[in-house]
Amino acid sequence: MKFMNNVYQVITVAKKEYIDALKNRVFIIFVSFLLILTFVSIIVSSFDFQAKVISYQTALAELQASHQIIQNLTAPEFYPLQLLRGTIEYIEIIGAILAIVLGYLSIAKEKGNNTLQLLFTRPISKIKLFFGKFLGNVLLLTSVSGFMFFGIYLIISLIGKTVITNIEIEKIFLSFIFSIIYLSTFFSISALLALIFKSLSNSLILSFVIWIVFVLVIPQIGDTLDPDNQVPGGLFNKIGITQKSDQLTILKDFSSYEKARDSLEQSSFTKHYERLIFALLGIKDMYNGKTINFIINDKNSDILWLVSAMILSSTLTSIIFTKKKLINK
Amino acid sequence: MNKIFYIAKEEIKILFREKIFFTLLGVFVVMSLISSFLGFMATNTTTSIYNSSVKFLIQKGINNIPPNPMLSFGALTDFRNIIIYMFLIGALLAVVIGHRSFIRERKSGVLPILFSRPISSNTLFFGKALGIGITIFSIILSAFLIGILSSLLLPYRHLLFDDILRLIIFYIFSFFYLLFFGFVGLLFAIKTKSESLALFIPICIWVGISFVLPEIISGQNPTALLNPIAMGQVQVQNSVFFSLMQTYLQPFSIGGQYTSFALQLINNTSQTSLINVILNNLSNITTLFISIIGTSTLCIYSINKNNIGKDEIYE
Repeated sequence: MKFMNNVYQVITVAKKEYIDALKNRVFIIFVSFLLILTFVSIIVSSFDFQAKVISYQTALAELQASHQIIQNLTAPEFYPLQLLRGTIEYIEIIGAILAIVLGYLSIAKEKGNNTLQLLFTRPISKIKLFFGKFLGNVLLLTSVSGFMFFGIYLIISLIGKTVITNIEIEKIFLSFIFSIIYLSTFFSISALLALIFKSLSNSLILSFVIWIVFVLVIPQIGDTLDPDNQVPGGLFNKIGITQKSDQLTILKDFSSYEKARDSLEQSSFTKHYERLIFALLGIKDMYNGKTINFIINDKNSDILWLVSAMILSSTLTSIIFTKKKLINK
Repeated sequence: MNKIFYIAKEEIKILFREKIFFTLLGVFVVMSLISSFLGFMATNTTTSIYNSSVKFLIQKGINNIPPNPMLSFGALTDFRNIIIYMFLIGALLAVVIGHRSFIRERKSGVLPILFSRPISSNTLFFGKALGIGITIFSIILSAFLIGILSSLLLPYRHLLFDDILRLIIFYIFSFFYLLFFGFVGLLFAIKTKSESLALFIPICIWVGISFVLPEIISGQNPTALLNPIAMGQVQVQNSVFFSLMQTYLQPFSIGGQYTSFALQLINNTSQTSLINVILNNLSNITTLFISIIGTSTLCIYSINKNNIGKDEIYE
């Protein structure tokens, strides 16, 4: 009976969080922005693919007309899930902002309206209040991600007239689950900062600083430090070393540089999310067509990082939430 | 005039007392400091890989080896990462500066007191704008000095006179780019009743300008645009859709225009003269100035129309 009562209290708080967010203009603006971008990104990707096909056909026709060898020309191959690259990047960027908004609002509304005094006149513990808030917001992120991934599925299968296999559906589903974990981390970080800082706007700005560093700056540094990215078209291609094995032989002497670059990238949990999802959806060519088991086994360290970041941030938030004196007299 | 200077002076004084401003400024300064080092490291490693590749090819009996492609880049190329940090952290910092400059007054409720004095809305705006401008200018100046200093510390990569001139033009253009974002932050701090919304909307606009528009125009993925090399390689796609987008949306793509001009200045692989680079980008420079004038006009209009002194602001 007591357990049921506890569950009821947590669910009530979660329900309130969910409904409050749906009534919030900031949240609605960001959800709409994210959804529009998702769909725009898929459409742009499909036009991009179409442009590549046209370029290929033009080059093919020119070569055939001049009776030249066409074997060296590679036809662009269509993998529907690869169209989601832009969408995933928007989840990384805008989805994270959306989670920051939720984390901030969840704490700011209580601090700003002084509703905690009223709330604690009821027999509800801080931990139940935290669980309720966390559950409500994670459900909200689940709904948004679910709506987005379902929309992606519909666009690709109905408008794109492509048959999505069961394995691809499973891969989309797993991407959806990992996206919730990724977004929940940002929710917890933002809520944590809103709890710690006296000034809510300072906490919000700091959340954005963390966001910009982890989502944009660290992956950018890693990318621009890649030696093969220094020359347009790639250094090895430029000097005619096209065999992967030859490239690896040369790069053996630079393993410490590559290790340092990789470690830098690994310090961003956004990069782990990206690596995992790009592998699942076959955006990274080497994982295209591979089984889910193979991908999960190969990417288990990324999963571990992603899950650990979520557990760490939410645990810290729960500790601060329950230990900190929330009501300032 | 004195009132404008007084407001600007107060603005700068208060801003430099804020811890959060210093945190963001610290991130920006650190990134400016390491950007040329990162560029130097990448160039150096790539040259070493090239040398190893040459040895490898000679061992295989291949002697017809192309020259080191890194030699076609000047010392200024090491600075290319600063374009991205200006584009990312600099713009966010500018939004925060603009946002804080008005939200503070609205929150503390001093605006009605301020307007009880003989101060017009225009004076208030120009004072704030001057304060924002001087703050951004001092940040840009420190980034420039850090860049010059770090180039002196790095071996064999000293800048020539033309390089320094290009760097100065780049920082001047960056100043106006950041000023635009500072005014966007200010505009929504004036217009919006919610403090969080006043920060979120400019960030949405920034994401739109920095990632969405360039993607729609070029078909490039959002994060591909954060790589200075990939940015330099963006080609107009052979498609009706992208041609249309290019025609109609390019004038609004301030972020794309900024990076394009900045890359031509810093990553000058085509060896175009500085004057030609500027002439080729006159339309980009004009668009940025129009945007700055547009946002400042909107700021003045909003101060007059909203009668902000009487409004309350909530979190």
